[in-house]
Amino acid sequence: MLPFWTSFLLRVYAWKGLLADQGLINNLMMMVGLTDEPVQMLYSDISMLVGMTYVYLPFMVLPLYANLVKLDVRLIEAAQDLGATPWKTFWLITVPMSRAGIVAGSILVFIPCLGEFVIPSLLGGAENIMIGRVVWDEMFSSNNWPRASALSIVLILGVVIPLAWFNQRVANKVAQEGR
Amino acid sequence: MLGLEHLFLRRGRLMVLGVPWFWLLLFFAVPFFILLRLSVTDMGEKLNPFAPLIEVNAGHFSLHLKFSHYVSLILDPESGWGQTLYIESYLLSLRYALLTTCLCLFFGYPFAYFWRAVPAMFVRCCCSW
Repeated sequence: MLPFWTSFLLRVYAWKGLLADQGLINNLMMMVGLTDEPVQMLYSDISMLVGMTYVYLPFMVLPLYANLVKLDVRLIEAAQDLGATPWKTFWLITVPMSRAGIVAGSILVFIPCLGEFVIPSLLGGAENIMIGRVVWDEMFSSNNWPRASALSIVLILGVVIPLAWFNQRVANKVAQEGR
Repeated sequence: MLGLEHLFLRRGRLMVLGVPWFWLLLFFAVPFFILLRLSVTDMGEKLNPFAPLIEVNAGHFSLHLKFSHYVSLILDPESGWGQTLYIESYLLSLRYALLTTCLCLFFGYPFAYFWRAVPAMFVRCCCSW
């Protein structure tokens, strides 16, 4: 929970300081001798992905953790007793048992990421224009409110319709298993 | 007596269901319909995004709906259908969101997995990473 104690914006700005050309990571790499000149990391897709992954990681970990604590350790022990390698145990027992957590975490991360505006505009480059920035530009630069609204309507429907379909499918499945 | 109890139960159920529904209505449905209404406005010469949709003129109702904003999302006047910046950025957003989800899963799974072994009290007190 510690990251939530500081402002989200502040944490994104901190990444700016870390990834900049004269930032901590570049300076360290040059000191060690990995590179002679700074590697361009800020204002690219790398910095954007780093920022988004960092900010949304808790939303993935929490559902996964809630799911994994309930995992029955005896199943893992049984698999190992029966001669499965650790990898095989992981793929055959742990991953299928935590599928609900994986799905919940992925949805929680994917949906806010899709419309993310702040992180791409702070860390992203000129060519990584995500839809949130396009809506902002239409709204406040071109003053074309109807088009900005149309853009967001398409985005909302693009998220809500698949999600509703998925919910319906899960509900049907639960109802079938309950019978 | 039974009737009264029944009434209380029904009111309770109404409250429990009503609060989230009200919440959804207020913060999802209302903004959604405002957006929907904005997206079909014909702004006219004054560039008024809230130009009236229905006009009453000498006993005649006229409905002004403009769908060209939706068309302009997929049709570029120069390069043709499906060649717009908007589609490109939709796809880009989709790609980055998918990549972020994969990265979060990749880094988050070991976190959650090894946290399982940490005593619950410890997690509750100083759950920090």
